[in-house]
Amino acid sequence: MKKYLSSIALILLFVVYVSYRRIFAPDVAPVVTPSQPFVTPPVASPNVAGSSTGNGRAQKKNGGTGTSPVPAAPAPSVQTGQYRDGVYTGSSVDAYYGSVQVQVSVSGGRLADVQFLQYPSDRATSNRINTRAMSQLRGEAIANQSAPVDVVSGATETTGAFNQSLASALSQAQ
Amino acid sequence: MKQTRPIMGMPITIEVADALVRESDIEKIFAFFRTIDERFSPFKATSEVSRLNSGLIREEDCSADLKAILAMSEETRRLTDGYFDIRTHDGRRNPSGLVKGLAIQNAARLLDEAGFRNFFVEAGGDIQVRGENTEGPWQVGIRNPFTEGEIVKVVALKDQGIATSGTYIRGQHIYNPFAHGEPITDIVSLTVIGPNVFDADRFATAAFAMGRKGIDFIERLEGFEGYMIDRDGNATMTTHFDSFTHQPCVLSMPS
Repeated sequence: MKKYLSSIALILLFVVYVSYRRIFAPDVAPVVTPSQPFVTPPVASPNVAGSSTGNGRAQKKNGGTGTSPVPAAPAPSVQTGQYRDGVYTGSSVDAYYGSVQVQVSVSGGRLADVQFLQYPSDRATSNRINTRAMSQLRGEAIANQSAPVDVVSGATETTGAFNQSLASALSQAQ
Repeated sequence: MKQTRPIMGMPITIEVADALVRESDIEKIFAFFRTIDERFSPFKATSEVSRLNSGLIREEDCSADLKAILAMSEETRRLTDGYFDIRTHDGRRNPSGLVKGLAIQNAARLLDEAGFRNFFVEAGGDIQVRGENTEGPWQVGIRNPFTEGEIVKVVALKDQGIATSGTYIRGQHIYNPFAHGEPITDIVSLTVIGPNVFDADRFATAAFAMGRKGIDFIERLEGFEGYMIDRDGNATMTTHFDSFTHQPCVLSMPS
């Protein structure tokens, strides 16, 4: 009888322990701490130029030289047969997240190649691709929407900086 | 009232739906953005960030705000397995990826403190939304990464932040210069909706750099939803993303 009672006591103890774990140790989810906004009083600074295309950074050629053919004419200013042959380096243009700088090769009067000397670095770290099936996620083909909107979310434009650097390289080939 | 100014190399738009707003209220917010740009732009030689990068000041001599930004950058790097890193290839620090979201969030805080309840602040496609406009929740489009001027999704937001990371020139076959002819990424756009634009922005940036598994990272973040578009025009969305896309059902009365 005593053995029987102690067995029951043990089982009860285990049940209590398990419930304790369940209640007090919930599943660990990634915790995102609410960001602490920094306090910066709005000091008026009138007539400060808004554009930051002025490039305060030393122009440095990057070691990476992946060849980057651009098959389609990427800038409207590109016309065939009008440039002097050679290799021209465009100015380094602020794309906010980093700089864009291109180098163009002109051969037979035509734009033959565009290489990137600089490209925003936070876009350059994405080689590791995981193709694991993602069961909870849903997919769809994108389709244009016609509903009116108040504002649009999109990536900071790097195309503008690209076109600017390209135009500056090509102007040297005129 | 809606106003747009080019600051920090991008258009910044503020719309306040509250009736009592004056133009000077909005100008104060633009002035705040200019101050942030002067202080933290790595592209301005006189900014504190540039002086830190050029060794004119040491990290321990930085202002409390810049120290906070550097600490938040380090925290973000840790939370994102190193995918978010403000250090550039040449060892300099470019906190722009964090400063933009912070600036938007603090601009929204300043409008809060000025007593406004219904507005949005947008900088370079990242947005903090508060309250509603006169017709209900703010309608926010997600840009078509392949076609300028088109949107592929509309979400209704009231008190959230939304940010999109992406590279639209990818569609023109531009390759990562640091990885010998490799495409920059398999995905072209990743939008994150979260409780505030600062977190949405930093996690969108990191998730985009992760490639396809970036949407998985957002799925695991509590309180965040994501919409990813790959180079073939296929979108992947997190489990509860469609809670923002459900439009109210309009019933027509029998005539």
